[in-house]
Amino acid sequence: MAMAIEARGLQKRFGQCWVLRGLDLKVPRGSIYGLVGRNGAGKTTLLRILLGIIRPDDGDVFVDGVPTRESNPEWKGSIGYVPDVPDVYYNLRVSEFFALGKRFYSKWDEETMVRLVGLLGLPLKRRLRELARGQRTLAALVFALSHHPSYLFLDEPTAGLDPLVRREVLKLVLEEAAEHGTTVIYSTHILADLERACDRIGLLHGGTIAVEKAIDELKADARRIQVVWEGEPPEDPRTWPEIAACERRGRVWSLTVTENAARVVDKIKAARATFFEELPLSLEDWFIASVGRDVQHEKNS
Amino acid sequence: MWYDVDLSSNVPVYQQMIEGLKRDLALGLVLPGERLPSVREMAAITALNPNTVARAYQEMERLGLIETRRGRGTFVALSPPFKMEAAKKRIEELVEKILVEATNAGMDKEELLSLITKAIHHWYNRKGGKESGDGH
Repeated sequence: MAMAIEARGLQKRFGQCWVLRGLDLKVPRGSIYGLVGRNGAGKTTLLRILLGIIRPDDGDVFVDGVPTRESNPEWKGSIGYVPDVPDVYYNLRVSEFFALGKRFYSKWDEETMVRLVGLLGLPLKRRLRELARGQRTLAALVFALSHHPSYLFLDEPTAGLDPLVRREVLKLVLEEAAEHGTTVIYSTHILADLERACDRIGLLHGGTIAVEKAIDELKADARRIQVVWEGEPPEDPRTWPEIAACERRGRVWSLTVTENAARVVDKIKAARATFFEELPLSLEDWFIASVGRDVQHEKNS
Repeated sequence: MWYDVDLSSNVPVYQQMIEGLKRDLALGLVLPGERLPSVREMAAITALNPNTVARAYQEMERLGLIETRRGRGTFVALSPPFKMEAAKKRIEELVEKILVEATNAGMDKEELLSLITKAIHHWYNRKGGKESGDGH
């Protein structure tokens, strides 16, 4: 079955700076896909290429197996997009902004728009430029949800929002996805939100999707393991390929594993540890371990 | 609530939801025949992934814990499928695990009994004193 959204071999550079270096990505239909990566990893660039706002230097994007390189109004009409900096239509009033949506989108749903505006308390008469950043993002979100897109792209939609509104935004997105089977790509640094909302995670690192897996699988593979050996360990855990991070405090070694937790446990058992316990790894711990390893390598080299 | 899950746990969220429903059913906090929120409502209530919620519901239905009535919604099954014989076997296995833990920790018979008695009292107090199962 064709993926809802697929990218193959995407390359993009700005001047001398390579942002994407042959990136592949697969988003199944109806999936809520969490896109994570450090600042400047290229998340926004990737979203803008997937959306067709900017062109890649090489590679292709496919929607339901169809390349999107040619201009395709049908695809454009089925996209909802909440940009990271929602600065367009600056001089429009909020109500005029939504009136524009009503004219553009055949599936525009005035009832949803009115309900969400009420729920989020958006001032319809104010101009977009007069709103705080968080409120502008909310306006963009209401705009996107009001035409029930098949594909929803969210670029840090909750940056600058208080925790109450953040949770509300998350619920609105999930409600929309549950009701309409929307395929969602959700980029954020708030990993606790992704832990709840996503079924797949893609880690953008070093210009490619370095890791892409189902969140249940990710959790099953990852672990923090505390070990005590009698004397020194038979083999230095820092040299084990499965170990993403390794810390030692007194007698206790704390090993962070992002792949093959079961194999590491077997290895520890074989290495006759006097004590060991397995602890779960949060998505945030996983991210820090996955990305931090490279940072360590860069420092050392 | 039965659908409160621990996201830091290694136990998949859909499994935690199933365990949660079983627990609340046992405690009488959820009653047979009670209507459950739809997948969409549940995703919004919990802010959890709708596919995860749908998977939990599918699994619950397969286990006979809940029933979907077409066009009317999802309900807790009227006669939840817990068979005494099968349950006894599972409980025996769990008790053995408790005995292993207790023995390794150096706990004697009396200490273990008092601990279990306390847990049983606590459980039936949570159930609001209605010790169902004594009735028949």
